Amino acid sequence: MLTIELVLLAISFLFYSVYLFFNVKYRNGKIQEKESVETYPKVSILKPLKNTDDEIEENLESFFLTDYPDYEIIFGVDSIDGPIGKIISILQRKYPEVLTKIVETGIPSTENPKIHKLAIMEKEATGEIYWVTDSNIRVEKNTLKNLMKEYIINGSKIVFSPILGTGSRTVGSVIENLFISFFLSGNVISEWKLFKYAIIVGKSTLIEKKALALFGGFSYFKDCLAEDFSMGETFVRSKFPISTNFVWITNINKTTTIKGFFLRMERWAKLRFRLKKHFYILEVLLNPIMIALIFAVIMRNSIGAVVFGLSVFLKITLESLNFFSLNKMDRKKYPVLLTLPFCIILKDILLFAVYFTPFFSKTVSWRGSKIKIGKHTLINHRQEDLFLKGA
Amino acid sequence: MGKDEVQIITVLMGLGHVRAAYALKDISNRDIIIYGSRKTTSPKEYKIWRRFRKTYYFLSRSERIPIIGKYLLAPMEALEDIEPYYPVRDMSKPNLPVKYLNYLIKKKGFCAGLKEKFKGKNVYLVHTFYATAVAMDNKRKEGNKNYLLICDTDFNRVWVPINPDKSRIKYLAPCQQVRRRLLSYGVKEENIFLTGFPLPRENIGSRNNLEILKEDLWKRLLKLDPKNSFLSIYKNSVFNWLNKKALPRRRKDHFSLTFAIGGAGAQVEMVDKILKSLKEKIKNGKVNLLLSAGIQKRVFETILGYINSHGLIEYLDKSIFIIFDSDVYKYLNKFNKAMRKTDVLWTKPSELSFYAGLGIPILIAPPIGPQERSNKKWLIKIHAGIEPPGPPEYAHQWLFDLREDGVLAEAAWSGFLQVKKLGSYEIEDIIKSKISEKARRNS
Repeated sequence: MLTIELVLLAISFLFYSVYLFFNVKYRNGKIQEKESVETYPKVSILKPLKNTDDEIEENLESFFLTDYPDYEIIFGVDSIDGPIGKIISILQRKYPEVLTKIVETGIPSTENPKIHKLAIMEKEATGEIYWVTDSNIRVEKNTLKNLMKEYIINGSKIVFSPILGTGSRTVGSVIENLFISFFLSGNVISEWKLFKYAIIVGKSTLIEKKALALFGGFSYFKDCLAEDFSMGETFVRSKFPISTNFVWITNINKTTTIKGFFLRMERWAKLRFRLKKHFYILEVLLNPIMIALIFAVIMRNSIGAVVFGLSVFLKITLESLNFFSLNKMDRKKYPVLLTLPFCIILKDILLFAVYFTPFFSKTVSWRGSKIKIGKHTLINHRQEDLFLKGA
Repeated sequence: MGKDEVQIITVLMGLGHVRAAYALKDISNRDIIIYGSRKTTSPKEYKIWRRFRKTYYFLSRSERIPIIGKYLLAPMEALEDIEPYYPVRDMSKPNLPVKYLNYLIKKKGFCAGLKEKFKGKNVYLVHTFYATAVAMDNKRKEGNKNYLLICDTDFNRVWVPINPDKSRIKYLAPCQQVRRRLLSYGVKEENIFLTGFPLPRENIGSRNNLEILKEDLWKRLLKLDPKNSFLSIYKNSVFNWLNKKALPRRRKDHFSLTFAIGGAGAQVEMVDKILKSLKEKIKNGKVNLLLSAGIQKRVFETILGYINSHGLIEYLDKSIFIIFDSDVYKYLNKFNKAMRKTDVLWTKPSELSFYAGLGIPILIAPPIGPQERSNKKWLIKIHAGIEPPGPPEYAHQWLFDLREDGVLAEAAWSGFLQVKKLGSYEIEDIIKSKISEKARRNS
């Protein structure tokens, strides 16, 4: 029993060690300064917006401050009259030199709400490149230039990024930021470095318009809820080069609640389950604290308890190292530092609970809608029914 | 004609049955029913259709599985098997698939939704798949308003109900062999109409003049016969049929080849070989390649992948075209448009074999299933289909030799002369006359 436990824990910690190694190694992105870029094509920054996230004004403002020779920002909102519309208007007045457009998209009934917005927004876009980012993303002045280097130098049709979760104020936001910065980004970088397997996180995606147009634009992906994953698979299957130069994108989470974290993780878990069931089932191995706890309960002896204690210690150590290496904003906050060990344990307990939800439910909540998903995260209906529109 | 009184019913099992139904769209004002989808069936019945479809798609693709593929395909082949026609004999005795279909209909509620939908409705039903027609046979007072179009040149006994004597299904036969086979299965002569396969009207033109078909064929023959190998012999006949007087002084030096991948996505790997072979010809503008991907995104993406891996992406939408849409009707519309530009159609001998009637030579890809083997024989018999003389890897050699020798032009011409082209008009006429007859009786 102990041997089995130790093997499982070894696998688990090996994964996290690899994540830590790559996250730290590429915490400043890939150095591409040797290759000089002379001309940059026009970029359309697409911002599909739904909610007023934490510090949304500052997040949006960071895009107005982008240091890039030729770009425009296109905002897609349900309704211009909402609070987001007002924030955008303020920023437009503040930065009149930046070319911007607001597109009112309404709310779709059956298709992916984000793709619905993007499909309308792309009609207004005049850039050769689209940079799609979520509302809670904040960028540096040089982020776009750095991403574009990868496009220009390597000819990548999609450039994806690891994500840094930061800005924590609540317990919910601390655990969500820990998850994003360690598990999620560790996966993104290590899968790419070790297997050249692209995990595209929809929070930031740079796409070549011409390549996307071959599929008929964003609407090609409207029937999938995991549109980011689907885009990656589609581009890979179609043999378009996609890559990352590990330009980190900052995701601001300040006030997320524990419930909010749980719901988001539940949604992501259901998507992963529908996309790669076999890999998802193995994900339970990436929860060493819970593995050790279960074995401790089964064994009911001191060895089990010791192994559990060591597992907790080791997991907290690895997560903390990752946190201190990456999260410059939060590592100065004493409340965050004091609660960090507790948050790490709480996160893993919650993730363990979340893990089982896809086995019992196909419905996810997203952008205000309850959406039932099938295989490959197809919305509401199966592929065969999609052929039959108008039948 | 009371177009409101006609309902086209089909199923999505590959693309063949829907293709036939789509060509009949003009004879009805009602939307085509694609039966067996979630929208059209109860959850219980939907499960049966899903199982049907899954098995069909799996087995259609199974040939691609190394070593065991052909063994996996064997059960489907056995069920669809077509007994030799000769010696001519009575083959009306029901076989296993007929009995199983009868069991599904009677005991499992197969097609029950359809029966319910049209119970007591005064509508002429035109089916392109046997199960729905058999299920509706004698189920309504208007049982004699049940028409079934056969979509191949020969077929299994399952297309005829368990008791052909009592059946009131009216059969629409695309060719003589189908008529003969129906008789051997015990179908009464008066219930068989030799109509031809319904080809898209947008590729034909009016029924009396065939102006679109003839114009397209003329242009095609000029492209397929650069050295006049064919025209030097058949010129007068061509001029006479196509109302032409002389050959043009200058001709285009390139032609268009369409490769059609089956609805199940089988043969997608052949695209890789064809692209590899024709790469230089495409670059030099000697051939345009149209790749019909069907309605599956995965197939479309795989084809794009092949185009990318051969470094031909810059030729996309210039010399290489992909015919794809995830909406089946939009796809069929695009396909029919593409056929007007197509000079050679490379396809497995599915229902597309009948497209030889448009004067398009068929290059026969390996058939799947007994009915496609029959179609292949038929195509070769009427000289409208050609078995490629070499593997796809050498298409850049043999395809151009066939063209130079006038073989492709000859096949195009033979298809035009031999295949019945007016199926959609003939079917309309038959139903129209029944409706008029009924109106006369009522008045």
